[in-house]
Amino acid sequence: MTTKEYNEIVDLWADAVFRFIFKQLRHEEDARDVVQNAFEVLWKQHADIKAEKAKSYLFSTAYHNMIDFIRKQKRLDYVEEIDESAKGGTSDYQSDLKEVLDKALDTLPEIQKSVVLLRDYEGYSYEEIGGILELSESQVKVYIFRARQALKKYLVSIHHII
Amino acid sequence: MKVNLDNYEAFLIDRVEGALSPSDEAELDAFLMLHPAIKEELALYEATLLEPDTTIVYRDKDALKKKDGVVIPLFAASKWLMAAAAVTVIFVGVRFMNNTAPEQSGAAYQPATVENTVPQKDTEMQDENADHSFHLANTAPQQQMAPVREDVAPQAVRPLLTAQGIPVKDIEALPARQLTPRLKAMDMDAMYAYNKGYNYENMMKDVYEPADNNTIVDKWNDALATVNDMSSVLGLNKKQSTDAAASARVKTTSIRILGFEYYNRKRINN
Repeated sequence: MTTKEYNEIVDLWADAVFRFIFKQLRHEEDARDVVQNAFEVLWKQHADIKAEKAKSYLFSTAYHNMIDFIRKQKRLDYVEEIDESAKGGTSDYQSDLKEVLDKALDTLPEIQKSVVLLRDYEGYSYEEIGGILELSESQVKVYIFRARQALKKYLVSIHHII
Repeated sequence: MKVNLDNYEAFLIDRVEGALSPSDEAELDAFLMLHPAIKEELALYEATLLEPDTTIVYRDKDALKKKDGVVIPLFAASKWLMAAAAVTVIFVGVRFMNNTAPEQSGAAYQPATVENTVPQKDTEMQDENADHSFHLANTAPQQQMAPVREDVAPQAVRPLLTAQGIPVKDIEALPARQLTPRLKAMDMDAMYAYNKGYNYENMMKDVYEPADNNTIVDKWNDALATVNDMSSVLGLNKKQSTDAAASARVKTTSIRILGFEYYNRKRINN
């Protein structure tokens, strides 16, 4: 990958990879740090990576950076706290499906969240998601299944409250 | 597979995912005709499909972009940086002592790392117009290594590694690697440790895996680029800025330099 191609990757995918990370960390500066670090890694390896492989390399690197970050910061606990406050707010009328889904997303375990975001946001196949997250295709399928079930269950519960 | 009340959810999800075969699609349609209430569930599953929120964007993408050639970074003062610089100066001093005392080391030692520039530091810093960047093509790895004082480097590095969450005891427990003469000349172990920075797991894994020569040469060039970065940290380079990203990079660079030095010394002493 040339420098020009690398810069095109920045234009094409910086938003998408940022969105992927931000939806999971829920913290703009932390998400920026993770994404910036992923691009640094991509740049360091750019001579060895073909442009067509760069996107999945970028997502994979960002994902693993994020996991490292979460472990370091113990942000999982923090996210759970956010979840609790979100659940407490369900008495507010939630008419916007997007907002509801956003909150539902936060209730998912990290891996399910990553799988479903890659699937829905980026349209990756199960095989491609497996490559990015280092899972088998059947594991991806199981996570998708569980994630959709959990999201549906959340929608049903909100529907009842409303 | 026949759709029934026990397994229909998997079929609903597969439909939403677009993963049903035409025959399964037909079977599911027939099942839904018999159980119309389940169509509501299908609608709920369809509602679980997320749409990207395009209002979420990465600001200032240009800061991520690169130019051809070695990028000279930049400097923002921090306590961390001061500590890193101080320790690096200690390393430099040790290396410099070794360079100036060949009768003690018994070898001509000229590693192509940051210390190559440091003996000239005073004069260079007085020259405002000097180009202080390193030239990668002109800095080939040297064939011979002199012993380095083991007692200095690990002690100096320890608090910095600890600050980065790297378990020093585990690193010290690593056995010495057997290198071929060519790889030894390339200083592979050091390059790996250096390049992996503070990602300890990768460092552990990769230091003990074989690598082809291209990888080693790449890592060598990468190392030199990082040394070039470090020269900026130490004030050897005039192209500075107070960019936050640069500050973060400087921090990363510093720990890499230190990791490099640590491994270099450890390997040589083994």
